[in-house]
Amino acid sequence: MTVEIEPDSGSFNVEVRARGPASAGRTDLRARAWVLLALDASARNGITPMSKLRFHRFIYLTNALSPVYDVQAADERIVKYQRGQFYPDLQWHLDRLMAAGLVRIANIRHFEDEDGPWMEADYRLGRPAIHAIERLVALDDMRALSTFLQEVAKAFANHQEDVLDDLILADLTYADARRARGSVINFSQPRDNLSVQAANSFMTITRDPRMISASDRLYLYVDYMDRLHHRPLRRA
Amino acid sequence: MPEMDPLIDPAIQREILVSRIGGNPTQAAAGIGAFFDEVYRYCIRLMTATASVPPGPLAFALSERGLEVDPVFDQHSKEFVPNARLDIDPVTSVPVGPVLLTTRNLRLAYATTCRETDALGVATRLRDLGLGSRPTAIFVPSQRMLTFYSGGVDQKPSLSANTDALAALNLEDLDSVLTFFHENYTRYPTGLGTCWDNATHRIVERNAERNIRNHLFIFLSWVVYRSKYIVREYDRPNGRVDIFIFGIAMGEPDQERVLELKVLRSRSSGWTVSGGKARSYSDASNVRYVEKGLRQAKRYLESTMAIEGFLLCFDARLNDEEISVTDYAHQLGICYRRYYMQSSVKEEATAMTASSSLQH
Repeated sequence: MTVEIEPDSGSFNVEVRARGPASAGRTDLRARAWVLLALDASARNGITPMSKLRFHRFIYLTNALSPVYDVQAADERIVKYQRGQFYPDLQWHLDRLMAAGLVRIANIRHFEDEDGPWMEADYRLGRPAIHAIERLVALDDMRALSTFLQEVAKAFANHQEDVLDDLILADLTYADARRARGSVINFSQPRDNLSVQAANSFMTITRDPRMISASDRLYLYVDYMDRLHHRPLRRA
Repeated sequence: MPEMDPLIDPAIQREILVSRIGGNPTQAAAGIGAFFDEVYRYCIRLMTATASVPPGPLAFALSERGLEVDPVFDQHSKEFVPNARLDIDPVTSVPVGPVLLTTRNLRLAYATTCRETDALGVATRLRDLGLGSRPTAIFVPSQRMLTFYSGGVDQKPSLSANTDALAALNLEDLDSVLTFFHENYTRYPTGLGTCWDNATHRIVERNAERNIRNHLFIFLSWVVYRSKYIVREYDRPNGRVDIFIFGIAMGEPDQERVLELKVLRSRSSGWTVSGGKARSYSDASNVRYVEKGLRQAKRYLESTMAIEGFLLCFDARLNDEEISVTDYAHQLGICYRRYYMQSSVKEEATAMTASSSLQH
């Protein structure tokens, strides 16, 4: 395979170009672990039970911001869907985890609105999940993933309950007006991931970039989304 | 060609950086330190809202994986009632308690009562509920004392913090913070700092300078400002700054401060009454040492573009006498401070009496 290297690109860029966007398939066990650990991180930070709507938006945020922590995203593409962020394959994993007794479901609602028929429900961890999670985080890669997810969950949970559902719609990558509804957003290339660019840009406005840690960038960027959410969106 | 829409609004970005970064967690969310950090911050907020001070102790027990899969909460759910959020809501009232079962970020906090509301009764209640081995923090407002039990109340406490120190300090006034440090750490041999080899003979430890720097670093970063934006041995091209305070630690971005530390002494480590190999330091050599420190502080001030540079001299010489470097310090633009280290409380009282007699 020929790898095109731009003059300023680092090794990360080369790797991305070589492998193409990550995509969470139905046989992808890492994606299933991502779902389980994301629910665990949410529970630890007091935001479960989590509605289906909030779950997919939160998962999107973790995917978009994963480069800040040097974590490989579970899925680097998403369809700009009429109901906001939604991952059919990760929903598939969530349903399997539920069938295995690791995730509990409650408040199932079927309804139809202007966007068509839909099902909503609330999800939370089941007690058998604890053992599975302990086994998972014994692996270095999974422990790093869990650390990252807990940090995002804490930054997200730090906001008022009434804005949590819609907060992530203000994400710069997702809300970018150049991407029409129904189009596929592919943020596998660093230049297309506006969320990470914005998070990292906080480093450029301080005298010493080292003082803005990866966790600071997450918190500041989520704060930034909250601020955007509270004003008329220019990009939406 | 139309101007490109900027990715991020610089005005909002700047405002967020200034207003929010001081509130960012200092500990990784996945570590136990995050829980204790959140409790510490909450207790400070609670004490600031003076009308809301609870009469008795409050115990914060960690529900590691959230309350939904917590067996203790499951078993005693009828005894617990929900509290308001303790992580972000303004503290307007005393939390329901005194035993609180919380998530690590304090977003969820469920409370239960106990018969005996003193610290012992609260600990007993925790054990009765099956929370004796949970990471717990107990706050006693009347003493402004917060005690952390990493292994639960069944184990010894791992760390205590007296929040009274913060209540008494003006954190924007670095001079008063440094004076407070001297009073509590270095002024007397019984203070919190370890500096003396033999206080009676006024011999400081060989590594006194390093020890005091470390004490001051921990005091500033962990006790006073609770910020990771205080760095020791801050590496610059022209040397290492003993302690560098980023402006954000004190709530003023880009208003950095440089602290250079020196220990002045008359006798070096190993000095004995009968002489020996160890040497003594003359007053002239101490003056040269202070001047060298002032020049160092000046270099660091320039290389970091800090707004203030301090030379802090901890004085372990035989006599509490001024060193005439004030004009030189002024000329370099460095704040020179000297803190005399007493051999004992009695010595200071004698010195004050002598000084008073001279004035009369």
